[in-house]
Amino acid sequence: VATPNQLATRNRRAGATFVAPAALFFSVFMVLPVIAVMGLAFSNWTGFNVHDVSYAGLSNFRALPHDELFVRALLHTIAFVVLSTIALNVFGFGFAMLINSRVMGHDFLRIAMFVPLALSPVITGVIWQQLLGPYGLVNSLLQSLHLASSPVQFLGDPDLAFWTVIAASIWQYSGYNMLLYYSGLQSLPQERLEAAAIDGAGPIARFRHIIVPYMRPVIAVVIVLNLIGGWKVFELVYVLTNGGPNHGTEVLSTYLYQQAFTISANGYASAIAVVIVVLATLSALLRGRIQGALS
Amino acid sequence: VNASELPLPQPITRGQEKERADRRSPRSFAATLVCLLVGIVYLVPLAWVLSVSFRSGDDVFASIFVPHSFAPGNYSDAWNKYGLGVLFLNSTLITAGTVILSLGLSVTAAYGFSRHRTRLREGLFLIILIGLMIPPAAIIIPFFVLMNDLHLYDKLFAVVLAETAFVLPLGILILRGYIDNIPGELSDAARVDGAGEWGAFQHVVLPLLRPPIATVALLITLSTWNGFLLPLVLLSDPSQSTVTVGIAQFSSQFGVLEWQLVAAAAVMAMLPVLVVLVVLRRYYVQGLAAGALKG
Repeated sequence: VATPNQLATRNRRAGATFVAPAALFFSVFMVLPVIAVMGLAFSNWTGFNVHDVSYAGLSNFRALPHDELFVRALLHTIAFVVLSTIALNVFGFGFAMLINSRVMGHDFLRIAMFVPLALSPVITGVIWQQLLGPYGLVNSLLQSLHLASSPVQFLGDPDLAFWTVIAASIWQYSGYNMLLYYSGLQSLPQERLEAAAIDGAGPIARFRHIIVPYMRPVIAVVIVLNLIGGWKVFELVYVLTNGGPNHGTEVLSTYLYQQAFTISANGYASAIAVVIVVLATLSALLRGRIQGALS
Repeated sequence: VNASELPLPQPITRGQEKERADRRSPRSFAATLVCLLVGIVYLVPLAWVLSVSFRSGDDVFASIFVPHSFAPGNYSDAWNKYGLGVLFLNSTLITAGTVILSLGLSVTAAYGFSRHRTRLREGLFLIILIGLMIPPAAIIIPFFVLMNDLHLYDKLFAVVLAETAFVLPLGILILRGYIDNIPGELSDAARVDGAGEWGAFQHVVLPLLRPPIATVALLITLSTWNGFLLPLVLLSDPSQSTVTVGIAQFSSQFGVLEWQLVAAAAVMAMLPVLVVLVVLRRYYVQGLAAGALKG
């Protein structure tokens, strides 16, 4: 019979054997690149030859606030993350409540919102580019209904293009929030809702005092997931507008890509990468705050 | 004991016991109307692409929604002209490779993390979870250099390795959550019977993991098939790359000139994942709920 000590040793060894392959893989293909990008952010490096790396101190980070395009990309990214998170949650929660009411047609809405989740953001970008293009469906409809005399520049006008990107991402991802909220709503305490209704609480009071408090942890997690996902935005913008027109939809990741793979400013691009990682990591820490703010 | 007795997140099914809303009231009529209208808005972009993909060249932008022509030959034209055969083969190989590699690594790691806890391993688990927050764009530069150094640039295997690094954390998270809920006595009994650590894992725990493995495989299939940035950077020729990279390329090159062919290519690209997702939607929803709400 093994003593507790022997068991603990055996436990450690067995655990190490199971965990080691993934840990090794993760170290080489995730931890190492993350450390490398943090180091490169303090370097002067153009081109992809490792021998050309030279230490540059904080100069990349000092240059960022003076780079007008970086500042615009940062502001666009923040606006994109905040606005799309708000919209995704309003639509996601609202339609989840509607679907959960089980009126006729709720299954149709659920499937319709679910379908875009299967698509690559690339395909979404390709479709929306034509859909909202000068000859696309939306402009043909607007013109045939005499709502517009000439094609609306959904992608040609820098400000409008930014809203188009947000609309496309809502179309693609609101089903995700809907599914998560719908899944949470399944376990609502029905007795308490019924008791409150008998006590004369209207739908708004029940929503505020029973449904929202009950869903608080779910809402906090979903918001954090949306924030993290928002900082990752790349494909949709790259395909739909490629950051244009006139950098009107430039976000951090497209600007990074351009700096790295068009002009090979890899040290500078790594500094931008650090900014993205910091923003994404910080938003993951917000979960407790969000949950507190909802109570 | 079988898997169905374990306390697991339940799939979304229709709540049969729940009362249905009174369908004849004006309010539920309005709600039904909203469901239908919003659902149609969600489906219109896809329905339009489908409609365009069957139009002849001169009808592409002439018809608004219902085509005046029928040109199913677009599909074979797009397939041949864009060389979709190679792209589909590459995407399939990369997806299959990523699913196999990341499942192998995450199943064993999840078991080690769940069954053999030490403080060090808990710390390691948290580090791996940080991987969920790292956007591919942020570490694409070191990835590019690393793959060059490993002489893997322009090889499909490079994309398999890179995609695996990004899906591994989610796989470990979901599978660990599931294994945590399997009573430890089961594998202990097997170990006492002389099955050994690997035997207990292989014969007792692994068979119980079929549902979460299906979930993880589905999520990995979706994200890898739809992936864009990693194959874009790690493979040299976009027109010989993956389906998503190729379509992004053809869309920017020919999108306006022969939108009917690009549309046909887009339909073919989304069809496999759409079918897989609709058939296996229960597993998808389970994975979303389990992965999101535990994280």
